[in-house]
Amino acid sequence: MERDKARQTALQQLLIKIASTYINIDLDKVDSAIDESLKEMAEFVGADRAYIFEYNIESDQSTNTYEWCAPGISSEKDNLQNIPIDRIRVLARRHAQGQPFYLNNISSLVKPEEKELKNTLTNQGVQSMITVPMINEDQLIGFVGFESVNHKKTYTESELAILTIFANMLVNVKKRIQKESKLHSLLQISGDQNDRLKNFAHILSYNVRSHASNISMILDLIYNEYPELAELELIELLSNSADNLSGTIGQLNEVVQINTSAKGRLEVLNLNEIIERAIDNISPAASKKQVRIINMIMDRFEVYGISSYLENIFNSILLNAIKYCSDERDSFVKLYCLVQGKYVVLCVEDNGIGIDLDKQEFDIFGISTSFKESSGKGNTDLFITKNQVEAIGGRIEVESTIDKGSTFKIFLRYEEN
Amino acid sequence: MKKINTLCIIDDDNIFTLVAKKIVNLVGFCENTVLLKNGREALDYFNELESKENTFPEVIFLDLNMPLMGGFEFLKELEKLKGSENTKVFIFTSSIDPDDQRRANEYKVVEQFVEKPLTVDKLKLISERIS
Repeated sequence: MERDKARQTALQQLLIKIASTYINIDLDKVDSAIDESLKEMAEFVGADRAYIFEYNIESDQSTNTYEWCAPGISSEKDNLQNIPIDRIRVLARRHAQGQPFYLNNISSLVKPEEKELKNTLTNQGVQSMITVPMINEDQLIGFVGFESVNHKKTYTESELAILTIFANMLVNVKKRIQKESKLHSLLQISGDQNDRLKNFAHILSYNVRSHASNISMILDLIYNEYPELAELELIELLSNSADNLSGTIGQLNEVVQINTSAKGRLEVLNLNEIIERAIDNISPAASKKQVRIINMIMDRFEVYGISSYLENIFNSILLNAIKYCSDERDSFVKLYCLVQGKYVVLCVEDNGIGIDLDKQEFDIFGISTSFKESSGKGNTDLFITKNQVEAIGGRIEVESTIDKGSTFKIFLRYEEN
Repeated sequence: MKKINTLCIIDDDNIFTLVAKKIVNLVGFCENTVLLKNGREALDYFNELESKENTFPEVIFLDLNMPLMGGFEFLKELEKLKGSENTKVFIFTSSIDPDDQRRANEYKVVEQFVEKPLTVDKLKLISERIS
């Protein structure tokens, strides 16, 4: 009785040890941890071999990936690489049903369909065994097991418990490995994209921009040397196009710079100060169009950002609200803040002419919209604004009703005190 | 206004040098203009001036991105020459990369970083700045 109790305690300790080993294991250390666990488990239950097999369902093969052998017991791992599952079909069928496979005595394998398995096991001198499947989201990926070579052994509930918990832990580790490698390849892709973007910025900055500036320079010379040509409508159109081209390239360049340089430069900023500064900046424009700016933000907030970006974001959104005010009523722009999860949401609400978001054939923050602007119509720098918001880890949304007004919501990452 | 004797324009872009020369003439910025295609060619020219103990051009308009020898490498070599003491370099570039600007300001011969295009108004400002 006492011995049973002691063994029960030891079993529990082993199970806890296995579970805690794998729960947060550093993926670099998985291999050595598995070798160590196989040894510990096998010694605990008195098995001659402990192992892990992987199934490759597509090629209908199985491979011995890890093995521990007791002293004096031959290693079979090298003989068990990419073996046809047919050789262990009886066992694999049980695993496919999510069941363990027990064998107390090899001589009990007498049915014709068990002949292959019996041969396989006999070659390795196996007398008794227990195997437990590893199943990842309904998919059979392999199995773990113990076997006895020199003697018969009845494997019981405690061996089943050990193997089951071990199998589950291995499945979890496998999932983590898959996720991390996916994450790694995503990072790789985004790193590559970032490099290409920088390369693009470089071409834009040096090559495209130098051609555009040559055109501007030639035009400048024409204006100065041949003032009479400046009267020509065509020259004027050419001059406008050159200005727009330079403007567009400048905008594109700015966006590329935003996307490649923002990361890692975030600091904690006082939101209220920056908003107050933005309101000061735009107050001449507001009074000119008789728009009342109502700052209803009472609480103090700290957000993550880059101060020049935030200032530009607020300037643009406020100027946009002023620009599209309605002539038919007393115009106002209200500012208030909400807290949503890890974001502070700055809401900029106006009672202007509104935007028909359904009819809008393009995203109001889209690049095409903002390029329309270079030709004199359309929105202010909302495209750059959106890019700046996203570069500092936020996002921007808009709600609007025609002839009632719009609300721009700027989500900024919140620094809780 | 003190008139500049020689201006040296170092740029691989023919259109830029050609138009810049016309603008320079139009404004009456200097007496002579020397056009050079890249840093290497420019360095040969300045080495020769140095060996003959001739006076260096007072002003250089320098591009950054050029074949054979770029602007920064040229600046490094130029600063080693004794004759460059009274020379003022204006960087003319299409680059709006803040890093380029920062780097350019590390050279003491660099007077100013100017974004292309060169215009009559910009040239007049430069002229006022150095006279």
